[in-house]
Amino acid sequence: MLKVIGYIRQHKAAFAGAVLLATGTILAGIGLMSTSGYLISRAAQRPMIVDLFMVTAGVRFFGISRAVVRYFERVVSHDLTFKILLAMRMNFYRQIDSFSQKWFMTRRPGDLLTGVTSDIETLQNVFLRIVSPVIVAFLIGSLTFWGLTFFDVKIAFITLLFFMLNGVVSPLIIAWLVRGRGKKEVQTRSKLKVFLVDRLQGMQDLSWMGQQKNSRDSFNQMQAELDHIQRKNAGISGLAESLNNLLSHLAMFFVLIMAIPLVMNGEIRGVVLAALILGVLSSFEAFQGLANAFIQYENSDEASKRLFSLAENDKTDPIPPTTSNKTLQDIPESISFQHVSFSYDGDTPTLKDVSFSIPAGSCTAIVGPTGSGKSTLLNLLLRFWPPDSGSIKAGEYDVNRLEETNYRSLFGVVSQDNWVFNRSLRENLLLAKPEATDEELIESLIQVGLDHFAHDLDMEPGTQGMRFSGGERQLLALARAWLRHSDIWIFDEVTAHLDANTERKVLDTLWSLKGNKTLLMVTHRLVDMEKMDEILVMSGGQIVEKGTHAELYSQKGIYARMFDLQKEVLD
Amino acid sequence: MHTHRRLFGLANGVHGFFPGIAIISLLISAVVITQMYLLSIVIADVFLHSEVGNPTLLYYLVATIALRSLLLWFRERYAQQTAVTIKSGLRKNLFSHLVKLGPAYTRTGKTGEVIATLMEAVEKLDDYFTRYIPSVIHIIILPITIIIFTFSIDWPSGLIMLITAPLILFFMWLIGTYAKKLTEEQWGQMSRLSSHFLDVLQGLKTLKIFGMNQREADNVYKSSDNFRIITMRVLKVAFMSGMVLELAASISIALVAVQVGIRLIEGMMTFQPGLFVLLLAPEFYLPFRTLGLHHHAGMDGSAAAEKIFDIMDTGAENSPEKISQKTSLSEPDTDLLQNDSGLGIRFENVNFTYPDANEPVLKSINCRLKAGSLTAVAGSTGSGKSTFARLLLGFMQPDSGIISANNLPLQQMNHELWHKFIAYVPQHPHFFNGTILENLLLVKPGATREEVEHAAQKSGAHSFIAQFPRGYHTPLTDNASRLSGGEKQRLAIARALLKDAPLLILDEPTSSLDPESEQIVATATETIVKNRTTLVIAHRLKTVKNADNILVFNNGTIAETGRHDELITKKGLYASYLTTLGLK
Repeated sequence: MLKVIGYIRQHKAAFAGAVLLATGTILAGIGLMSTSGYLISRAAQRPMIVDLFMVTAGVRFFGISRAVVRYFERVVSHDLTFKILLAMRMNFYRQIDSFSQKWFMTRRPGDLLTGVTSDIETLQNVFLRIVSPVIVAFLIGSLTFWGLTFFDVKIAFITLLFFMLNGVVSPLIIAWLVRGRGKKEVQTRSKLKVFLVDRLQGMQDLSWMGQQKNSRDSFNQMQAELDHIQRKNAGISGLAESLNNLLSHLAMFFVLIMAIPLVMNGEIRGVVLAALILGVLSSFEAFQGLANAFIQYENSDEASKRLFSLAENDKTDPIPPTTSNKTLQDIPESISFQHVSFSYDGDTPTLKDVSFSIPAGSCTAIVGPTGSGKSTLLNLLLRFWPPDSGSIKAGEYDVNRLEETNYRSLFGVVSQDNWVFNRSLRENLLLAKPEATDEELIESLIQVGLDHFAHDLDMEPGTQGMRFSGGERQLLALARAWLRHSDIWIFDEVTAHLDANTERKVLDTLWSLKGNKTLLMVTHRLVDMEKMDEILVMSGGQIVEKGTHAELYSQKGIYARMFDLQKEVLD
Repeated sequence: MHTHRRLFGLANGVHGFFPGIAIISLLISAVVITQMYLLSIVIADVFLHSEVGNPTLLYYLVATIALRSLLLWFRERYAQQTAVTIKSGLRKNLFSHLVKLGPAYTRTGKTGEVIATLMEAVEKLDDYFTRYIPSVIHIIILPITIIIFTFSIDWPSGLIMLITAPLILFFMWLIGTYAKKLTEEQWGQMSRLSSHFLDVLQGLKTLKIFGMNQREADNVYKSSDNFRIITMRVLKVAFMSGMVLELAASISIALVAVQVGIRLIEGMMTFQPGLFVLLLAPEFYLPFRTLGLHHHAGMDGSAAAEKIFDIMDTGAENSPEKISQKTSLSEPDTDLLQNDSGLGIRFENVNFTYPDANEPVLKSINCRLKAGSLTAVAGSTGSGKSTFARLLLGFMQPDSGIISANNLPLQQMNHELWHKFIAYVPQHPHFFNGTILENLLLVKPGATREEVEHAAQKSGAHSFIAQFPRGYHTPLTDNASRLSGGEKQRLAIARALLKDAPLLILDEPTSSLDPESEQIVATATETIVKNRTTLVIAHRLKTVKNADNILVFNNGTIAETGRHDELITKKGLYASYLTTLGLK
């Protein structure tokens, strides 16, 4: 939570301005009501009209300034909120950016990131809903107290007492009640949600198994449980408003009671009595939002804990610092894995003593069933994470000692999780080569057979590239790789969700563009295997077979069985 | 506007809600007026006569203060409880509607959105019913009551209120149309910006590969900051109209004070009524400000409600329940489906188009699944074969044509009844939260342990279930995430075996190329298809070779039918399809 306040401190001037303006708004309200009270009291004494000139002017002044000051307060505070939001986003981006790929692999990034963005949005309101109201209440409370001491110290103290009750005690009580009820309600609600997710995802099976009525009954029963809790808690949320109302009017009442004898014995002039009463009542406006601020605090605190714990998490497994930032001058003559072992959680090994070498210009395939460690191998190769033991070398250099961006520029990666950003086709392509001209971009599209998009670089592919078919997405990735003129092409399960014809098309395009580039193809589909110089068969994190298609097939091992099985497959 | 009307309709549906809130509002108004009246008398007495005329008035004053707070609390609590009733009803209706719509609706990957609607959007209505509606009612009742009172005491002040109130309402309406639209657009952009940010985070790996992560950070910064500047311009307009509103209220109070003051000097009125009116003035304008505060709740609520009503209104056009409500199967008909010769299926001129698509996926389908035979469906992705199976499963209704089982049209059959005759092994079977045993028993609630184990043994599931420490009582959560793909397949087959239905629909898993589990699943599949009418969406050559009949789908039509060898000699689409795959 303190970290969030740190963001606010970066904008001290705006912060001070917003708080002062908010205080000014309420002061103007106090001014309006007390000068009005004084005005009519004084008028009742029937002085000359000119005597009241100043007071009427005061009434008008406060009336107008209240609205104007409020306007500026809103402008300044909202601007500040946006600035805070921006700062938090950027900071978070930098954090995530520094996270390793392992971090992404071991968590569910999709859900997590969605949660994060909404957490940030909750936190942007910390200033507007929590920090500012608390400070304003403090300022108004102090100023009112100070002002009241001019009339009578006892009146000042009784008002202060009610400020405390309204500003501290009642929010605490409410927050305590809310927290107690919150837990049970949150639990019941999440139980309901788990049930809902389960039944909706399984709607197909629910349907044919005739579970409609059962599910409805269970759902209604759980909902009734939630209703029961919510009904019991119904009184709590209204408590804030009515307590504020009660305490402010009671304060006014006690001030009145205490002022009466003072007026009667002349210590306070009767003509200011109405002003005093109305002023005290108006000052409680500053305490209206406080109970809400406390509740907001709970939410924001949770959000900030979640958010900052992400950063904490990563500290436990940081990316080891690179000892050298050497850049490669030439294309390395080979890429090799030497006795590489790796585990995500430190227990179950994902890769066990993997060694192989890919000479420049060669074609290598890594095949094996899902979960055999192929994707992990690629992540290590792309330097998203260093191996636990063994080394990966580009030529003579250990890749983890090379400068990251420079090293990755060796590769053109066409993979399943190649992200299509929700922006124009042009911008999506420019990621691969920021300085490319439109002609080059069009050329790349034509090269990969996406001619039909060549005339429309401005087309928007939609969220997660929805408007592209699976094949088009892979071809777009291929176009990106082509634009980069990288020397090593990595194909990661590119044809996994494509039908036979599209698969053929993508592969043909690949072969036509390949030239003398090095190719590394990771796949569980055994297509075009006879074109490979070497095939590495992975199973359970190890390379179990190695050789050309003909060699492996004649060995009658796992590869041969996989190949035979594939002959059985219709799609 | 329409959404608001429906929401008010929902509130009206709760018996006594509107009159109840209105009565509480009226009581609050009465208490406010009394309180201010008492206060003005006490102050006037003390100020003008230096005495408290009637000390019991002070007790009354405390009483009104307490009563006022109590009423406020009571109103909120009452509204809250009503909201619980409404939300609960909505959620139950939504869920049962979703169940009715069936998999055809949730199929489209909307699950996440639907769950958010049921859980969060429904909860967002809370403030709508507890804050927004009461403040709308309050804004009608309290000002009117105060105006009536003020007129009876001091008509010029009453006149000021009477003139300014509609003026303020007019300004609020102005904000409601012009500025609101602007701000809404802006908030829309804001959420776009936030989804842009999410997009960048999700694509970070791709950015890193291209070495563009730093440049992208600059982009995010620039576009966000740009957005801030533009948004502030728009917000200023909105705040400006807010200022006009506030100005109208505070100037009106000032106006009441000044003109009362002047008439006091002129001796045209006395102090106490003057103070009374002045005390009433802020109370008079308070509801307008409160509504302004709760206006957001109103907007939020109606946005949430739109999502809710969207689901509610999702037409029953593709829902099987539409028909099933009309007629249900009578007893002799059930016998027709259960006879010893098995279940024969017939498709006659069946057409189907998905609601959101232009092109039909199935075009005049005619075919027969003979009782006790094994029919395989082949064809490339998108050829319509899965839709064909879904129609047979009754998840959706054909646009035209008839599907019949033993000459009984499915359309005339109760949905749930029809499913008694079907067992289904989907490609991605779902298992519900609960133990393995509970999941299996769902298809046959009264089954004995022997029956269950027998089915599991035949499907090859028993071997891995027995390895769990808790065996059949092993709990499954999160769609059986602890089971591997092959294990789920075997369990799904066990489930279908246990059900022992006359019609089996089997969506063969696509290749996993894990030779071991492939073998087990293949054997289990062979066991299950025996002795019943079976439809297989085939992904294996072996399956089609064994089939009594193959339906070759192409572009939504059945291009060819026949046995494997017949089709090969025919040298048509099927033969060339196998050639493309290199399977010949």
